[in-house]
Amino acid sequence: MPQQPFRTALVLALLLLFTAPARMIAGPKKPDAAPGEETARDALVKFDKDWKAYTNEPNLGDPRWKLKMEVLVRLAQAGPAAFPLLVEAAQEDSKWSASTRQLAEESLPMLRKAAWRKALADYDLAQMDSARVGKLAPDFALQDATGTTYRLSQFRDKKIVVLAFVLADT
Amino acid sequence: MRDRLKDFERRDVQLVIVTTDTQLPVRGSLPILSDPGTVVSATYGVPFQFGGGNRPASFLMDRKGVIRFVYLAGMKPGHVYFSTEPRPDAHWSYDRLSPDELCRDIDGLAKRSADQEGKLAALCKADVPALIAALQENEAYLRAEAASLLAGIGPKAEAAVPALVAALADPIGFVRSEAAKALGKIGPKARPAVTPLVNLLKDPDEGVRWAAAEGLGGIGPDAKSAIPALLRLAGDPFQEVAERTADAVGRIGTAAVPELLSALKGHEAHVRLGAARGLGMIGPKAASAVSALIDALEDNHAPVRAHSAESLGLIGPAAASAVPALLKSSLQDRYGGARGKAISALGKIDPGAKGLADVLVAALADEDARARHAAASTLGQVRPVATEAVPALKAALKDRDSYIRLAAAASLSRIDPKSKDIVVPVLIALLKDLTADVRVGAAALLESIDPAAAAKAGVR
Repeated sequence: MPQQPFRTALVLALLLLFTAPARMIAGPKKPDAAPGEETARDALVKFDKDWKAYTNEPNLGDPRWKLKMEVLVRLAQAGPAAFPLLVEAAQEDSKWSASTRQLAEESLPMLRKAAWRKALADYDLAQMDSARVGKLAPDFALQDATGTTYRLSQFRDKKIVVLAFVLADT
Repeated sequence: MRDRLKDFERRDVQLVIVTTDTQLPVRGSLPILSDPGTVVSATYGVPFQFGGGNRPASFLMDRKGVIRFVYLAGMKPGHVYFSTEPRPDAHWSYDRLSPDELCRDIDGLAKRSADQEGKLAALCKADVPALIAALQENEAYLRAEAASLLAGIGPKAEAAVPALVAALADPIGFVRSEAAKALGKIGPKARPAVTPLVNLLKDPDEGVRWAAAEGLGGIGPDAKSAIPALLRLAGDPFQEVAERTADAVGRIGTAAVPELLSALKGHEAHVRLGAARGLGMIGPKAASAVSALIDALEDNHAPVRAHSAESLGLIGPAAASAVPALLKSSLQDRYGGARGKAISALGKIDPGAKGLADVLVAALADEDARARHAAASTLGQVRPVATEAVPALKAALKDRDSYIRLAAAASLSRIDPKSKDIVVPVLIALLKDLTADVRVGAAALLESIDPAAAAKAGVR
């Protein structure tokens, strides 16, 4: 939590840095950019409309992450054409609601990472929250720092697996 | 945990870490994997996007790749680990079990269940002395089940107190937590357990801390000496544990009030917060705390102000002297959550308070949704009926937040039955809202004010 102001500052700095190149990317590719931007705008409109502010203190069982994930996937599918829209939406005086502004601000650095954008754009939303006790664990292929790919299925019939999801920074 | 890695490696247990970090550490042969786009986290239902919803989580797969245990931090108080075996709320923890036990447990899951069910069925028929004996069983699930059955018997299981106190030192977390809960169910007669339960409030397992607070609350006024330790726990990183402490303090009751009053002036914000919440949980019997809570409305820590306001509301009409201060907080507190709580409290303390309707109408224009929602809900309760609020409530039917539109519709239909014509279309639109609570609330309200329209809209 104490890192929050620092992170916000970092995001703002990144925004300033990337504003110009983003416009350049979107600029020359007009024919392609138009449908992409449309997709991104639809996604933001949906988020703007569907996002609910908290009615009480933050709780741990917040189900709204699915909406965030869905919008992130759609923004990633829109590709770099979404950037100018997001940059605009992230601005202090943008016409979007505060939560949409924050989403735009937070999603830009993620979507600018090509690997993240690809993983999100290729993600099948039907897979979301599909892991269940008593059912086969959904398989995945992820890399470690050395670039070695691990699949969950490689341990099948060999080992018991403890799969731990941990926060970044820990 | 790290000391355990080698143990895990020697066994047939593969630990796999998934993180959103892009700069990954390397730890020998332990796979620490990056999850670009958090897509794998999303598949596993681990909300890792942005701040707010982040919860560490673990999944345990057997050799066939079937998920056997899921742990999501803070998901289910007291039963944070759950599985299909042997009960849906079994509490289990991989980093507190030896790898030997882990392998035995996981491999044995399938063949064990029949045997287990037989033993558990036998245990269900056991009397108190047999259950006391079962607290010494070799297998942890039987010890835990025995404690849980003793909890079901309640005060009549008084004879089990010494054995349950001994079980508070069990090496397995879920046995400790079941024993703590059982002591709470036995109630005042479990008084000898107060000191060991206080010690358990420092347990490394959050489920056990939760259960210890629950147990102390169950013992009631005799657990008064636990108040300082409970208040320290109000700062627990697990929100459910922190909330349970307020509940426990409330059940200890008026005996806790003097201690809470001094804690309310304490140095640590979470202690003041715990005291403010605890006083509210005691309710009308904490009327002697009203002036201290009024002072706490000026606390420099926003959550303390918010919970002091809420607690004044829970004390109810006896907190009438807080009305002027709450009216002020409703409009002037710097924190939206505190403004909202102050408004709700006013409705509970005195719906006839002078100037209340004006304040609520002003609060309908608050920038914070929590304050607007409280104002929209409370306006319907104001006495005499706040007809002057009708235009503002009509405007609130167009609020960007659907639960505020619903609250405005409810209050408006109560104040002005003639407004039915404009309320009904709003409610019909809310029947398709994305939030289930809003849909349910809109359906119920529509049915009560216009059954014909409700039937036409397909409300059962």
